[in-house]
Amino acid sequence: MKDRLFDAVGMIDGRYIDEAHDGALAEAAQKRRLRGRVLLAAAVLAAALCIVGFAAAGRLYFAPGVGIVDEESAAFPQVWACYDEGIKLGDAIIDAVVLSEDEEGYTMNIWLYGAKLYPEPRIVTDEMGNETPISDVTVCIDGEEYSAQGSKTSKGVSAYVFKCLPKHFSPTLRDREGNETTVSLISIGESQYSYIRGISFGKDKAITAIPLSGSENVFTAQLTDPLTFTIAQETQKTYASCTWLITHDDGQTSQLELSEMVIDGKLQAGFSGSALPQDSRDRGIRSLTAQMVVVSHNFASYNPLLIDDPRQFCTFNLPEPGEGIDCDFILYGHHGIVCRVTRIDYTEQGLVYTTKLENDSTSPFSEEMYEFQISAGILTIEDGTTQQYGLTFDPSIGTLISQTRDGVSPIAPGTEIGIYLRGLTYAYLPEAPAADLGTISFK
Amino acid sequence: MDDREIMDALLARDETALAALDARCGRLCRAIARNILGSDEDAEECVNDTWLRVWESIPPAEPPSLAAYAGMITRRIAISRWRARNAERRRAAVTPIDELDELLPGGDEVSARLETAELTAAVNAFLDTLDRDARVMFVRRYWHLEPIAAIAARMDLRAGTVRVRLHRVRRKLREYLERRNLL
Repeated sequence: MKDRLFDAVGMIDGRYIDEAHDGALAEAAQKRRLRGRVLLAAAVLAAALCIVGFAAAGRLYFAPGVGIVDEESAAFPQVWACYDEGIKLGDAIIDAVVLSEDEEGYTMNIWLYGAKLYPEPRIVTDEMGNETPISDVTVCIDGEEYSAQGSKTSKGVSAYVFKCLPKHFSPTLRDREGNETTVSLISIGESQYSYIRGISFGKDKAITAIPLSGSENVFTAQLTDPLTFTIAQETQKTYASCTWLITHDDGQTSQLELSEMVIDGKLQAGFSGSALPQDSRDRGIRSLTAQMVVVSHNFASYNPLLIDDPRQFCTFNLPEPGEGIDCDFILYGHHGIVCRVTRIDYTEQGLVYTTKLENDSTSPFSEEMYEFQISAGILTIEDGTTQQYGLTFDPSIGTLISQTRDGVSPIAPGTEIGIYLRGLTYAYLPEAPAADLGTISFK
Repeated sequence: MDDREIMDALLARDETALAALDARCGRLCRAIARNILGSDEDAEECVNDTWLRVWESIPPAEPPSLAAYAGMITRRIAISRWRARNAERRRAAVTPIDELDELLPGGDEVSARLETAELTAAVNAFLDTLDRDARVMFVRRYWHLEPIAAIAARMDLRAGTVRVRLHRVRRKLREYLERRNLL
């Protein structure tokens, strides 16, 4: 099984190989490249957040829903975990079970190694014809059942998240085949978190790796970034993902990619836990290095009636196919970031935007640490009002179409169109030489 | 000689075809082998083996692209040598193989379900969905096994940019394979 995908890639169609070999790669330099500098926002985080410094001294605790707190803070960790090793649920091994308290109540995270993942819940129909979905894993507490589908597999480890559970320290887990196991959860004392370390990068940014299970095989992380959380308050959804490089005791390395964190603009949420690859677990961890943090802001479709939307839409007349227009549209200009569109071309692939990202103040960081990308949406303007349409390019018709209640009709060149910001993505690369940051040492 | 002339020479068992093949594809094949094996000497041996395999397989094979065909053979030979050499030794750094390997779960149930050909067909279809830059970047990293710095220099981009974009493409590939129930 190992290297199967690599072998498959080795047999791809020859035209792709020729394209990569012969292709006018210099042409890639003409594609739009977005460079920018980030102005670190001066937004104030909630008082419960603690900025974690590099090589932090003293004891730190992970308080779910609150953040990283030190031993002088009022908040104490409300986390319980199962430390029994090697117990099974059917054919799968229970890697970790963690119950934590947050703003919404109690959340249970379960990690299984070697469990089957199913794309859909199994539907059970009773004698009355009622259908009940049977999820991959069910948690039974005091006669009540809670379901979750598996997700985010990595090296055979699947994760299950149960929200809004009652507080209970002896949950029974059941898999889809009906196998059951009851686990015992114990409170995690302060000594378990003595090895939390934070990585700071930049002036106000930090990312912290937190082992969740007693065997240090399952990690989550905490992100501190004023800019990201400020912008997230204006988005429909903001996602962050993080890639770590693990150096083991024997000097060899492996990678750990944490599941995406969804930021809803409030206090930070932690990344979902991810387990080390099985073949890495017995090799010990000497250090963790944050290789990359990627943040994607997804803004909602633009509503011209919404006064508080910080975005702007700029209008232009749809050019003829094959032609383009030069412009200078500022789609977003807040928190020190300016997103511009400088040209729009109507190509065979649809509308192609040439974009530019700037900040309007100096930044202490070099451009090598960041990469940006923005995406735009468009809407048509008719009779002095704006009409929101899903605009796509249909090659069979050969032009842009708008999907209206009356069906599909093409948009004629010359039609007045508004363009607005839909997405903004940037990456932090803490490994940049200038930063000298990004490594957690355990030993 | 162009591709057609080289092919005609191979079919006619004219040994001058090999020198022409080396002139046409030698640089590509040596680069592929060197990326994998890390040594000019090993790469040269690989390429010599490649010409032998090409000579033995054409005819009956008549590949539409000699460069792609020779490159594939070189890649397979080089990877076999690399695997044999590294079977007992753990890799010191993350390689393109590691990057792709993380996309697939382990477990026998996957190997029983998936045929490599089926996975290859899916990868081909996935590559069709990418824009040209992303596709070139993917092929150069995971087929040519080119270092990220080399891809960056070739495409006039920063290494960090290449790394970020490859990360996104791998994530898209995983989602693509999951939607098709191949994971």
